[in-house]
Amino acid sequence: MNYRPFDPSFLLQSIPALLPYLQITLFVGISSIVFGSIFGILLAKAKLSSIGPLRWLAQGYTYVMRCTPSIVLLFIVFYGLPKLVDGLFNYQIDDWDRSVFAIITFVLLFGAYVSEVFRSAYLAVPRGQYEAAVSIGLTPLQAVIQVVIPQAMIIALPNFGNSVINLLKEGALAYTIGLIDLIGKGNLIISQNFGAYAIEIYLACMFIYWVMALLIEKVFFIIEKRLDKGQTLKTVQTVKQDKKRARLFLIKGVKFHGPGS
Amino acid sequence: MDLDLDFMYETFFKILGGISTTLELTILSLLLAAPIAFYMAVLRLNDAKISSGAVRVYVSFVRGTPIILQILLLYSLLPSVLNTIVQTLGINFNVFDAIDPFFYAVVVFSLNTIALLSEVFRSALISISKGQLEAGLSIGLTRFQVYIHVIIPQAMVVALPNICNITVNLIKGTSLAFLMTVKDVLAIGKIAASFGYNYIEAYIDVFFVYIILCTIIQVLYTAAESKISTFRAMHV
Amino acid sequence: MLMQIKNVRKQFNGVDVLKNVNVDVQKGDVIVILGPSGSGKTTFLRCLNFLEQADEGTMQFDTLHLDLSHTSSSDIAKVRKKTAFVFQNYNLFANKTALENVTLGLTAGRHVGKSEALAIGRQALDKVGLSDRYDYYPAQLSGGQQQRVGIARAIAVKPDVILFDEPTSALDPELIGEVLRVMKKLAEEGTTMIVVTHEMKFAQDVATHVIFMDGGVIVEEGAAEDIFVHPKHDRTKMFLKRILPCGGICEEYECR
Repeated sequence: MNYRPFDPSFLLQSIPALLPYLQITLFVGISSIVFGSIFGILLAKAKLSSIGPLRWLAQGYTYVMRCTPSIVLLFIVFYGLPKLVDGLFNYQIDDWDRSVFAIITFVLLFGAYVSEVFRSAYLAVPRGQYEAAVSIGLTPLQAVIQVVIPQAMIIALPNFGNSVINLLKEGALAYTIGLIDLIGKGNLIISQNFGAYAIEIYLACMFIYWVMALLIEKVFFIIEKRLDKGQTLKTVQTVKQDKKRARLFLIKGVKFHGPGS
Repeated sequence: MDLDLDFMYETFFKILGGISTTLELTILSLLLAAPIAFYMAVLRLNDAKISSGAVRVYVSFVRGTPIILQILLLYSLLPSVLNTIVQTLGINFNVFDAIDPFFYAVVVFSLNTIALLSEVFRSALISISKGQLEAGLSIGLTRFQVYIHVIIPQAMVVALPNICNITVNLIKGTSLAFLMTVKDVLAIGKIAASFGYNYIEAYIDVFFVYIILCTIIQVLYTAAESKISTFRAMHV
Repeated sequence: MLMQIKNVRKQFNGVDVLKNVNVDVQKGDVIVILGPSGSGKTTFLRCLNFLEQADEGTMQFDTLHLDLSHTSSSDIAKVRKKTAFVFQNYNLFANKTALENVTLGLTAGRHVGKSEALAIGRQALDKVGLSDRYDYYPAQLSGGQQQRVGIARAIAVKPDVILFDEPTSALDPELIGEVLRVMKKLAEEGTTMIVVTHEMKFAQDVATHVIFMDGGVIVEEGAAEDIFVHPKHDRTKMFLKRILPCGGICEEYECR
């Protein structure tokens, strides 16, 4: 390998070439999130259900998915699903678009992760909310839909946001099964240049992902603020106080003690 | 669907051999990352403009970018950088042959883990009541002593579940080490598969191995958690 | 004179919390500081062992002469080695047993050998009536027991003065008595104590000197019977009226 200086201009030039393929990355990501959330809700319901075997199945599935690296699942779905479908239905799916395999993989994974988020958020809503609702005459179903779930959604929001960002990052692996998404295109550019400019391309991809992650964080924060009615988010005042406390705590070993006794 | 079960049986044990590399990679990265991450957490809590800001940017960047890109970038970058350094210093050392890719893998995963761990340490330290520090100071201990004897032990108990999460994710993350030609679990699986094109069988084996690994880690952490949190035993 | 504190001033966010407080402490004194919330009494106490830093003031403590606004950390450490603090919410080290809580100040802070520290620790815990709780963690103890461990922790380091910040305010009523009993015992043995409290009967029984603070200044001070039976200032009278169980100034020394 020759010594070749880092070329920032190439980095900047490559971004317009890469951005169109961001659409593919986002397509896979958003589809996975939408279908994965539906799957996740079903799984969460199963985990909360009173039917023992259903609960164990759902919990077992979540556990297994939590232990599995995304790339391993990706390969299993990519190589295994066609074989399975062929064996069961005698139907060839080998030549389906790679993005479908990616979406299936991430739906399976995201569903598992997010089912935990939903389940714990649902359980975090105090039982008293449901009890109050039914005691003023709502049916159990109404109580759940109108009182419990809206509150659960707000509790779930921060963790759901984290899961979304994580999913998009995991989605970066889709290029390994041949999908030409952002990184897939990046690798193409690198090989078109005989292996040069790898650093510039990867940095460009990293910046694009970083910006996406920051945007999503911001969006979720705004949504939280709009939906929250004082339940979970700390006010700006308390956040500032916390920061000041944390600072004083370490620097002076002093507890922030306002005018008191 | 017909699976070559004999192949699966044989390969399973070959793949198990890769566990040592995977575990070494994970444990080494954790051990190297921990002290640096702790220092970064302290920097963040002290909140001096430049150092705290630098840490925030670092953590944000590492958490906002996929680890695969971190691997691809560093694997392209590190050898050339080392090579440049070696050549300018005039040392007769062939970076590309002599350095085991395991080294690069440790660097990548450590850098990644540092960012994640520092956030965990930071929130654990903040959660410890300030009264603990005050009490320690008021009987004449130095701040350093209070940290060592009182605050850090409690912070570690709070942090443990999150550290377990980070460990499990790290084990899964090391599955990507094969891209750096490290012979971990997945790498061995891929190699075994390529002989007779038994890809699906090999990957199913790998799948089971990771479940085993994951379970062991979680069992260990649960045991550790119950051991060190005896003082929380009957608390509300 | 063990300790002489003069001209203490402190502001929080532009508000004067302490406006000119002067206190003299003799060895063996039990000084009780009373006053409404916001009077500055806890802030004053915390300034004494530098958990808060005063804006102005001087302290003479034994052989030390200190400027409270600019105190070096080594001087702060010296003061902290000669004092001990009992907190309103006990602040026991959550990760240590009762005995370890008591001995930490000795082993880590004063380089006392382990076996000697354990002996002193057990003695201190015995004194507060917790001989059967050496190895219990704070989470396994009641509030009153925790506070008594806090007191044991303070006496184990053999300080010249013990500072008490509303030691019983966070306790359920039935647990207050056991803590006050321990504090009385200490007072009777001649321990120098400065106590911020609302426990009037304790003050009447045990205090050698009572200080009434309001609005950051000492309004009135004197012997216990002077303050409780013959208060001079109107503010003192109003405060006592609200606080004392008999609803008015006590005609007799003890209010029934």
